Amino acid sequence: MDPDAVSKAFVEHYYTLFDANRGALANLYQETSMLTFEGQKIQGSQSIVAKLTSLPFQQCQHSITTVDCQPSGPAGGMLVFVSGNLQLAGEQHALKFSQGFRCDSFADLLLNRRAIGGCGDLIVVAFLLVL
Amino acid sequence: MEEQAEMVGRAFVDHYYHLFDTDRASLSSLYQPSSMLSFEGQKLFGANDISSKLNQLPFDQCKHLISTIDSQPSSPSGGIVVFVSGSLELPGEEHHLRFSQMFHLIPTPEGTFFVQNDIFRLNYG
Repeated sequence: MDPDAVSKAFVEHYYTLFDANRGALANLYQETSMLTFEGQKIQGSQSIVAKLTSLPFQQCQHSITTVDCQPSGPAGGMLVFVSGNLQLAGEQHALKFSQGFRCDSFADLLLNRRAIGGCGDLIVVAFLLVL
Repeated sequence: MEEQAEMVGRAFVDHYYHLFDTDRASLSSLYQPSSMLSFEGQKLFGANDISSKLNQLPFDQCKHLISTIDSQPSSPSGGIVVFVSGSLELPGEEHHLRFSQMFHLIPTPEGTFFVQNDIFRLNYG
């Protein structure tokens, strides 16, 4: 399966969840996951989602400009790099953002295991199988 | 491990952009045959091709100004993911170009690190 297509599908899924149902992002992280958010370091799925759901805005809309991915590591890890805009409710100007993800293996990105900002639930798997 | 990742990340970033701005050809020493660069969406493989690309960019002089450096340990084997944001100053250009770049550093048997992955994007707008 094409890594670029898988990465794009992951990115779409991640930001769709972020914008529509932020709490569900918990499924994409594990206890070993790490998030660095504007310099603040957070570890573990629960703490990460607590951070993401307590951001000072309720509604947002991510629009993605670029997605780059590269295989990384002997175990078949993947790096995914995203840039785009974040539109907040009531704000005239969108915020530019960049975000990087890493997961331990390409299979994990597909199959719901170990990931940093990785990929996770059955919806993703079902979606990816269609690709 | 996290503190070490931060230290390595900062030292690497200082070194990398100093070389980029003063002696770009020597950046090749930071890559290996297995290394990858995605430069504005273009994929390059191996130290030789990566170095050629970096040396053929359409500007000779430049200066990187670093805004943020974030690092995370990437695996028990000692890899480190480094995420950089900053701006790029080109001679004769009034406005700086914003960029983001992500590196995956892998330890070498000699106790240093090489760049396994490098993804570079300008942030337009």
